[in-house]
Amino acid sequence: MKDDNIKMFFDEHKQNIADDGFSSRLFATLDCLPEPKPKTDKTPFVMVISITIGVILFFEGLSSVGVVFTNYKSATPEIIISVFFTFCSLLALGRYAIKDNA
Amino acid sequence: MNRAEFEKEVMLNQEPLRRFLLNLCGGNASLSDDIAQEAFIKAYLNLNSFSGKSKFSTWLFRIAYNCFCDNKRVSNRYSSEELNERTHMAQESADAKYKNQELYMALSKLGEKERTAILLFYMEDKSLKDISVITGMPENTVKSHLSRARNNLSTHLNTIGYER
Repeated sequence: MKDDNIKMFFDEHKQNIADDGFSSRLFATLDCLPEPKPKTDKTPFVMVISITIGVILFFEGLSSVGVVFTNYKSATPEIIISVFFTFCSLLALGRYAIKDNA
Repeated sequence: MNRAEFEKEVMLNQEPLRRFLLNLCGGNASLSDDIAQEAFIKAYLNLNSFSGKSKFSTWLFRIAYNCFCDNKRVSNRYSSEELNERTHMAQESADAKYKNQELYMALSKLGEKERTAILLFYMEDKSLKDISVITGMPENTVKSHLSRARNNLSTHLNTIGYER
């Protein structure tokens, strides 16, 4: 009831605003402004850079992991912790990407 | 979006946008038109940043609301007490004048955020989601502003004997 009354009040008091030259004044102003630049899609550029860095890091990482596994006795707790946190951050990134796409 | 499409959007949205700003400014038509003009120019210059995730009108209202807030911050001229005195709409009939006075008086009983939420919801038929995008407030906050505004308005409408 309260809601209906308020809705009715706003319906009754809704003003009609005449253009009164507003649009023409605005368009005249827009004529003096530079055209907005078209949006450049930077996605392919970013993808190429990311893939290149990713591939380099992947192979670098593989060789490092290979070294760690061949000399597993030399694996210090720092290395184990860093490997663990790297996996965690990769999982978190993956989760973020899935969430972002949704 | 090119210039022609933008002009089409201006023609479609100028009336609701100017009405929203006029009511936010308590009836100060020249000021609200200045803010509307500023909002349209900003929208035109930043057309590339419109991603299409929301409706164009919602994006435009958001820019206009931000312009209003910036303007208010700079001048701080539209306090609730002043609203009653700032009702100079040109060329309107006595009946329209009376109706507008009644509206501005009712709106002056609300805080700024409540006023914004209720104007967008009832006057411009925006959804809660759109209001949330326009004002930058979470939906639940919009709901509570609306609820508070309804209570305040209801009390005011009862006081002036408005019942349909």
